[in-house]
Amino acid sequence: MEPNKYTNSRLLFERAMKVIPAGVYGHLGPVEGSMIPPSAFPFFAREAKGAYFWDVDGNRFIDYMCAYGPNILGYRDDDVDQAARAQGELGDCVTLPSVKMVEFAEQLVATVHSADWAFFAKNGGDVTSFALMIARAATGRNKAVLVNKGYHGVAAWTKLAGNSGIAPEEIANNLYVDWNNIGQLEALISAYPGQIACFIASPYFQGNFVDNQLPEQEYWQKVRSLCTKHGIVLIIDDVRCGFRLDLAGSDHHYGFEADLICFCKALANGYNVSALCGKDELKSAASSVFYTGSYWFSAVPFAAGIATLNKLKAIQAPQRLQELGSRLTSGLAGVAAGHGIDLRISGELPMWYMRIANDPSQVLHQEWIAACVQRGVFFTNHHNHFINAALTEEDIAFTLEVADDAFRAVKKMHPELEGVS
Amino acid sequence: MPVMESVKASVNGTKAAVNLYAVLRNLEELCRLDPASIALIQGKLHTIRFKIRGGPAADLVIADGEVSMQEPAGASSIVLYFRSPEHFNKMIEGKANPIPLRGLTRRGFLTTDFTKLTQRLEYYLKPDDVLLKDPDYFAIHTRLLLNTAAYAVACIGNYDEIGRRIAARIPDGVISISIEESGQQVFLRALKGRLQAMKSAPAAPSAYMVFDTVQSANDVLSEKADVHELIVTERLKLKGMLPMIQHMNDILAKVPQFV
Repeated sequence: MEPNKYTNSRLLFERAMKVIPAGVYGHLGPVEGSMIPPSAFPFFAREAKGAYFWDVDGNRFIDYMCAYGPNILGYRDDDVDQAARAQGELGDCVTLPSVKMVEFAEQLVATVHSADWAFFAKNGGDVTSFALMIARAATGRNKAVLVNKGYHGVAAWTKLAGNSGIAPEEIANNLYVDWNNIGQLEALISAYPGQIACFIASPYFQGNFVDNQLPEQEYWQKVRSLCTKHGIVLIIDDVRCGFRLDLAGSDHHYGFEADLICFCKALANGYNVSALCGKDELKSAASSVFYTGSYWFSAVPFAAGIATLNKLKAIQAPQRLQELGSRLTSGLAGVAAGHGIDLRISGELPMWYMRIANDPSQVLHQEWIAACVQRGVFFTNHHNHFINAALTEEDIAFTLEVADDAFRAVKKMHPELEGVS
Repeated sequence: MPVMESVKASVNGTKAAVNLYAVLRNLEELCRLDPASIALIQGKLHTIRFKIRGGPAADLVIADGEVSMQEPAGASSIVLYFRSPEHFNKMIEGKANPIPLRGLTRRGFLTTDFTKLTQRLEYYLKPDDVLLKDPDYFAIHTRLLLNTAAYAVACIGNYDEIGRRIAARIPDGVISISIEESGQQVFLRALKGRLQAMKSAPAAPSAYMVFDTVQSANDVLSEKADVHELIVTERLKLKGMLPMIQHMNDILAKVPQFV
C-alpha cells in the first residue's frame, strides 16, 4: 500500500499557524498527543460521509474517531440531515425557543431511564459544569469527588494544579479517588463529613495511555448506596459513552440510577447540542442556577437530536455497535497475534481502547498507528476509538488488511521483531 | 542529586535548590568545554561545601582538572555558610557574600580563580545578540541551557509546592531529552513523585523529546520559537509515554520563576 501524502494539509496548517493559536488547538490539534508523529496524520478534512472522511489532499479514511464521538449513525446521515434542514427552513436561533426544545426534552425523558427532566446546552463541558453547580445548589456543600485521570471537559474546575492558566483556588474543592476504589471514597466521606456535594465519574474508566477499566462487580451499586446515605449527588458523565452502550443511559447499562446524567457527542449525530438530565428532586436546584448561552436554544440541533434518537432506537444502535466492535477488535487482535504482537483491547467494544503491550514505552504502538493512518485507517495513538453504525463488513475487512500491512511495515523498522511469529 | 528533605517548600528554598543544583552544577560541563575555565582549575584541588541553613547542600569538588557536584561527604577544604536560602540566592545575584567557615587560607582561590569561573558561567548563561552569533559560544550556551532546564525541572518538582503536585502525576520512568545534531542527552527520572536529572540513563527511557538541531533546542529553551510549530514540523519530536512529557512541561513552564 502506498502511504498517504498530506501536502495540502501542511500548507493549510502553515496558514492556520499565522492566525489561530497552535494552528489547530485542543483535542483535534496535532500536538496534543494523539498524532505521533504528526507527519503521519492529515490535519484538515474536506468532507465526510458515513464511516469515512476525506482530507484536503483527497485521501480517504475509515474514521474510527468519529469526530471524537459525535458521529454515531454515520456522517451526514440522510434522516438526521433532512430533519435539520426542515427545521432550518423554519428558524434556528430565534428570540423564543421552538417547539422542538420541548419535544426533544420529552423524548429524552421518555428514553433515558433516570431522567425526569432535560436541560440543553452546547458542549459536554457545559453540562458537567452545570451538574456540579446544581449539586452545590441542592446540597449547600462545596466539595466534589472526581476520579483520578478522569475527564469532564476543560472548565477551570476540571483542571489540575500547575496546569496553564489555572489558579489554585479554582480547584481547591476537588477531591480525588482512584477508579473502582470504594475504600477511598468511604475515607473521603469520613474525612469531609457534610461537605461533599457530588461524586462525578464516567460510567467506566477511559484514561489515555492506559488500559480502560470497566466497573468491578457491584462498584456502582456501592457508590450509589454511599451517595444516597450521605446526601451526595451522583453525577454520571455520559458525554462519551451516552447512547453507545444503552439508549436508556450508561447508568441503566450498569444497573444503577444517576441523580444527574450528562450527554453530548452522539446526542444529535454531530449537530451541536448537549443535555443534562436529572431526577425530579434536583429540578428546583437546576432552576435556581442562572445558566444559559447565546446558541443554547437553537432549534436545528434539537430537530437533529430528535431524529438521531429515533433512528438509534429503530436500528437498535447499541447492539449493532457492540457487534461491529466485537468483530473489529477480535480481528485486530488476531492480525496482531499473527505477527507475534500482543494487541490489548480494553473498555467497552463500541468505544474500545487498544495498545501494543510488547513495548511499555508505547513507541511501537505509535509507529503502528501511524502506519495505519498513512494507509487510510484513522486511529489515534492514545485515546479510545469509536464505532459508528455506518461501518460495513467491507470496512472492517479493509481495516484488517491495513492493520496487517502496517504491522509488516513496523516489523521492517524493527529487525528485532522479525523473528517473532 | 543531593537533596535535603528539611528544605522548606518556599519560593526561596526552591530557588536556592535551582541555583545550586541546576545553575552552579553547570561548572561541571563548563570546565569540560570552555578552555578559559579549564585553565582556571588546572592543578587545583579544592572541595567547596555549600551549606545553606534550611536549604540544600552540595560539595563542589575540583580535582584532576575537573569539577563535579556531589552530595556532602567527608571533609571539605572550604565551607561556605549561608544563613538562609534567601542569603544564598542573594550571593548568586552578586548582592551578598557567603560566610566562610573553613578554608580561610584558601580565600585567594575563592576571590580570584573561583570568582573568574563563576563569571565565565554567567558569561555563557547570560548571552547577548552578538555573542549568540558565535557558533562556539552558541553551542556551549545551549548545552548549559538544556542542562539547567533539566536540573531545574527536577528541583522544582521536588521543592515547589505546585511542582511537587505535578511531579506526583508523572508516571514512573525515564524521560530522554536530546539534541540530534550535537548528541547532547539529559535524562529525567520520575520515581514515586520524586524527580532526578542525570546525564546518563539509569534505564531505557519511556518518553523521548528530541530536538533536531542546537538551534531548535535553543529556540525552545529561550522561548523564541512556537513549540507547536516545532512539533508539527518535527524539528522537535515527541514519542513514547507523552503524559510524562506533558507533566514535565508544566514544571518547565515554572522555571523562569526561579532562574
